[in-house]
Amino acid sequence: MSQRLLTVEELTIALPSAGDRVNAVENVSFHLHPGEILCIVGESGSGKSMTASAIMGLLPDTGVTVRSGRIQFRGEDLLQMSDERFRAIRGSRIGMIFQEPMTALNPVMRIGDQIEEVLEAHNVPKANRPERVLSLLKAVGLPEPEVLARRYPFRLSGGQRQRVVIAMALALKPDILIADEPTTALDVTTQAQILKLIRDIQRAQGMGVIFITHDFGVVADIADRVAVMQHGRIVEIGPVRDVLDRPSNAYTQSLIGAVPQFRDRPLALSAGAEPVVRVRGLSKTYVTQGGLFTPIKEFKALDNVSFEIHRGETLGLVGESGSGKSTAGRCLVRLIDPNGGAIEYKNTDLAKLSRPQLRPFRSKIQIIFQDPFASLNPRHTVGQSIMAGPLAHGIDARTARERMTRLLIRVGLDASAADRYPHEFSGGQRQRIGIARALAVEPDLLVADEAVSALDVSVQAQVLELLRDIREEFQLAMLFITHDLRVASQLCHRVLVLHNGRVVESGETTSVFRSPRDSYTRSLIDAVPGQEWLRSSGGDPTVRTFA
Amino acid sequence: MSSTLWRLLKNPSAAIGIGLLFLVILVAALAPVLYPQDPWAMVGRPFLPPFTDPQFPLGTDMMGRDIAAGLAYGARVSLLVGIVSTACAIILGVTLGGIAGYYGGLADDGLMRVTEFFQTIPTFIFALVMVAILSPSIQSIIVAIGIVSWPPVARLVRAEFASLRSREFVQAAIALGESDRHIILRQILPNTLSPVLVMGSLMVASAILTEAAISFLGLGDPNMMSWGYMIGASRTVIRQAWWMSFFPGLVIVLVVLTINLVGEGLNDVLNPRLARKGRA
Repeated sequence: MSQRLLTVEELTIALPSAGDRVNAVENVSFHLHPGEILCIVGESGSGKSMTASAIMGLLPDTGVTVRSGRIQFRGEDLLQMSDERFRAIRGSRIGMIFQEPMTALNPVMRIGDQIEEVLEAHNVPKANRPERVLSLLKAVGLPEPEVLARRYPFRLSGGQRQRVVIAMALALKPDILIADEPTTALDVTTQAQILKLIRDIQRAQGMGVIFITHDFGVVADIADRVAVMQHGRIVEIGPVRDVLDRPSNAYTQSLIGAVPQFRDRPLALSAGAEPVVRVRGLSKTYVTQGGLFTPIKEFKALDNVSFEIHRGETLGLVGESGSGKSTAGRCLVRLIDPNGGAIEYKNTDLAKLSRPQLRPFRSKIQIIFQDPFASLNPRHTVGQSIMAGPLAHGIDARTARERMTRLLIRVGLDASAADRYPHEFSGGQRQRIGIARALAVEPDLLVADEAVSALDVSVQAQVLELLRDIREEFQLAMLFITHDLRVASQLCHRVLVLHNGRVVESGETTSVFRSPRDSYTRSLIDAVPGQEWLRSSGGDPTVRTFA
Repeated sequence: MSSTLWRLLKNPSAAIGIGLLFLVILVAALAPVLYPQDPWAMVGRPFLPPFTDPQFPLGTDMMGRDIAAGLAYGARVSLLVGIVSTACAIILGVTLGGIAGYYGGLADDGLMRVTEFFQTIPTFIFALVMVAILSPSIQSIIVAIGIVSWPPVARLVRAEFASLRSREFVQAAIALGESDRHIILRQILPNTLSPVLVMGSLMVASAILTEAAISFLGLGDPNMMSWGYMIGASRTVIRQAWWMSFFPGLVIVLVVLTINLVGEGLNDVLNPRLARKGRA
């Protein structure tokens, strides 16, 4: 560990003048030893990806420039290097994996050819290439490499694609692997596999890995050392145990404190006897039209799902992507029409109503969406967005305006926010606006579809707190859809685990998560990153304080 | 919108375009003041070459009509046809495209088949036939050009509506129980206007060209002086009197170029991500 593989010294990257701060990265210094995994962790906009791009020489050419500093790779400064020399190093000595496996592969090129192209670019003799491709695909744990090499990317799952991307990055046995949020877009079970793969390969080849993530669970599972970034600076750097268990910096402490964890005790609930909504046998099958030579395909997104939610109660709907959890939420608000089953609300079956008949009931069940950037109309002021609902239900403008102002303040925004446009707000603030919009029509049931998944961990904790408060204040029934079991455990009284459209397990949250009966539930729970660390930290896991 | 205009003026080619367009509009508006006599009136010696008589700077045609006056009055026809027919096409296209994109299903299938039907007929010939049937007049030219140029608008708007409809803010509006009319007009439509505006500005240019071509073939409004008519009428004497067709041709090229400059400037400003590269 004596020799340094990579040294970054006082790196400063300037943003174009229009940005909200002068430098994307300021005075950042760190180094990487062979055979070491360094995690760079931080919230969005902290400059962690920009640092990685600078090392790879991939900074966007729109005014983002390295102002000062050195990036030394085995004693050579990458920033002073000729393009040609850099190209030889990039890919062969330093490999990179990106976040989105969907876009990192060329969709119209076979997998094998894409990997061969990397080998070709770095002068591997043609005769050796096919064999190398197969051994690489095998090394990243892909089944039937011969068959897979001839496939196109669209036939692979997200996890398989990420394995292919890793195979490409490893094609020339680089000394350094830079991984920029490689598991963020993946399901939790796939994430666990990819993390293990990266760690195994790193051990076997003695690579240095720079792993960029926002998830402290992942950090705990994979890192040797960790650097915490905030506003373009490294605020803390050190061995993973020291930083996670004894953080010295206040920002690191607050970040770690905000990491959601499994709750130990069941949440107290004083639910009414009569459920607000009772869902029975809900089913949704998607049918793709058959062509002349293609048979009709059926996909059961939801298969006979039943549940009920009481006043003041939160039901968690958890599962991986494609499990049908979002479909269930959208069926409940009737954005999607279910094929079968009943949604009973006050003795009315909402599933059977036609769209016009449904309108008076619309206000009773509201939904909050995942993407705070897509869920507000960019051309409407915040006030217009929030008042649209009440006005559509015939409430007069003055009452609507009063209610809007009250709700804005209630969700923690200023009343003056009403006259501003969504682009002036951050992700967390927009999510608060989305919540205010849903509450403006005074619903009985709130469907939150991955409502905190796109948010940074500290913002996530605040929005969860808000949801908890309004649930109590308005005695709301809530259907909380999430892929993150830790978040579900924080907020939900009961959970429903969905797998391939079917309910595999349901019950009180802590008992389901502590002693799952179903093997699928168990695999989901085992895949949650950072469990060892959370267990070892001991104490009351819901409250984490640092002296 | 004022910031859009400002950014447009900072784009050099768009600024030139806007300046020239303003000049054309000014000339068209002031035509009766600048040339109080009828553009059809024979005011001078026939076949007077340009730059010889200060009273007729661009010369006269074979009947002794003032070419400069003809150009000024022709600008009125060209702008009128270009703007009104484009407005008709946009209203029609946005309505049909919006309905098809928002409702999908049968409405979409039906309306898109109609759109495709219109698109299979060569536009210019279709426009000519319609003008011939409706009897040549400025109204029928406007109607004909409007009817042949709405399908691309409808397709664009349909695609925008279909993608915006699945966006979460529209889904939220549906869940809030807003009426379809409200969602279409207030939520979706404002978000589709930028590309429509760009397309519309370029359609004005092609409508002017189409009108010129129709008039060239002698199907223009017999009571209104138009650039296309001027070229068409003087083409037989082009060897002896080049200026009679040259100046109207030059004006058509310039005006179309001008409108294209404005349209592309609008495109760069309204769709910054699609802006063509290679310009600082």
